[in-house]
Amino acid sequence: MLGHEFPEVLRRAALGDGAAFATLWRDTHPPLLRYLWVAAGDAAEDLASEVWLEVARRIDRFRGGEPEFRGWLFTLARRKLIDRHRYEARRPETPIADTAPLDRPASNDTVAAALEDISTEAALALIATLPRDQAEIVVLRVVVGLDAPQVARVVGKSPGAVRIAAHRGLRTLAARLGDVGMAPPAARELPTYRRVMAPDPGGVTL
Amino acid sequence: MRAFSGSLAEMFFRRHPAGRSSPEEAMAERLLAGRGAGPGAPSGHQAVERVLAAAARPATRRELSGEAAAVTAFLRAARANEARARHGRHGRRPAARRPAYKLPAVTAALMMVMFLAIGGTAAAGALPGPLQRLAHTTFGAPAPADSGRPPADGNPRDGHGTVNPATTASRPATTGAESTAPTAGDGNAQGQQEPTSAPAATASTTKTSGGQGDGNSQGNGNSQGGGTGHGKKSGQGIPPTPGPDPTPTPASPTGSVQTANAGRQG
Repeated sequence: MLGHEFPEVLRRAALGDGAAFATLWRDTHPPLLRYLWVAAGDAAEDLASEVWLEVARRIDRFRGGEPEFRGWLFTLARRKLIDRHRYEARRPETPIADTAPLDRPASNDTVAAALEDISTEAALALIATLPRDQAEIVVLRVVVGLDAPQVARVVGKSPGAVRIAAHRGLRTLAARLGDVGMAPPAARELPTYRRVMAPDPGGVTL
Repeated sequence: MRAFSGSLAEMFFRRHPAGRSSPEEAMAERLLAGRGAGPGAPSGHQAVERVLAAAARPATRRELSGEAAAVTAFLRAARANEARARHGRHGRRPAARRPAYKLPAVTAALMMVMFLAIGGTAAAGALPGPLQRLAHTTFGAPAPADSGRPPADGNPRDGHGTVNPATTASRPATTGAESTAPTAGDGNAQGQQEPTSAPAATASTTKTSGGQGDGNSQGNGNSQGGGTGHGKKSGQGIPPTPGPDPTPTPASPTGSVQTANAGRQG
C-alpha cells in the first residue's frame, strides 16, 4: 500500500510519468497476478498484461483514492476473467489426452506442499482447489486486502454473500488441512451456520 | 407477505441473535483480515493462518520481473492517448467552425425555399384572403377570388385610378349571359392592366362570369394586346368571326385563348 504517497503517484501516472506508473505497478501487480493465477491458472500473465494496458489507457480519467484504485483494478481484472471464460466456453479446446485433472491442482498434493514449506505458490495452489467463487473471494480478502463491501462491489454480490463464501472457503481449507495429518479441525471450531426456514411466502403454491 | 431483503444464502445462514457474530465467524474474520488466529487457537485455525499468510507474502522477484515491459507498454499507451487527444482537438476545431460558414448558406437556402413556396402559393391564388390581397398589391399576384368588397380604386399598381377588372367580374357574374352590353369597365380596363398581371386569374374570372364577364375579360385581353377584337364581339353581340381573333401573345397564351372562347360564347 502506498498510503499518503498515492495521490501524487496517481497524478503523475495520469500525466504519463513512467516512474509513477512503475510505482503503482510494483505495489499492485503481485496481488493481481496471484488473483488471476487462482482464478485462471496459466492465463494469469496474459490477463494481467491486458488489465494493465486497460489501466494505462484509462488512468487519466480515474478519480479516487487508493482503495478505489484497487477496487477499479480488480474489477477490470474480473471483467477480463469473465471475457476469457466466455471465450473458452465458445471455443472449447479438445484435449488430445486426459489432461482435465491437471487443470486445477490436486488438493492432496498441494496441501502436502503447503504444509512442507508453505511457499506462496503452494498456498495459492491450495486456495485454488476451492470452488472458483470462494477462491476468488478469499484471495481478494487475504491477498489483495479488500474488505467485504469492497469485494462485494468487485464480484457483484452482497457483502453478506461475500462473507459467507469466504467462511465456507476457510472451512473447506481447514478440512483439507486436517485430512493430511494436521490436527483435524472439528466442525465446531470453524464457522457453523444454523439453517433456518425461509419465511412463509403466504400460501403460494407452485 | 413480508419481503426478505437479503440474499438467498443469507436467508439460510443467519448470524447469531442480537447481531453478534459467533466465535467461529469472528475467528474467520480475524484470519481473513490477516490478524492471525491468536495464541491458543485450535491447530486447524493455525494451519489455515499459515496458508493465508503464505499467500499474502510480499512480492517475489519472479512476480516483479515484468516491470520493464509493463512500463514500456504504459508509455506507448500514454503516447497514443496524447496523440488521440491531439487529433481530437484538431478534429473538433473545424467542427466548431463549421456552423460559422454553414449558417448563412443554410439560412439563404431556407429563405429561398420559403420565398418560392409562398410565391408559388400566391401565384396559384391559394393564399388566405388577406395574404393573397397583400401579394396581389405587392407583386401582382392574382387577387383573392372571394373578396367581398372591391379594393380601393386607386390601385397603385394600376396607376389609373380605375376599377380593377378582376374585381368587377364578380358583379356582372350574377347576371350571366343575359346582358351582352359591355360595361363601362370594359373601356377603362382596356390597356390598363399591366402585363405583369397573372393571366390565370384573368382567365378564371372571365370563365366564371359568363357573357358579361367577357367585357371584363377584355381588359385583360387588351393588356395582352388581343382585347380589342373581343370587345367588339361580345359587347356588340356580333357572332364571332374568324377574322379578328386575337393573337395569343407569348406572355399569356392561356388568358388570350380563354378570352377568345368567352367572346365566342357571348
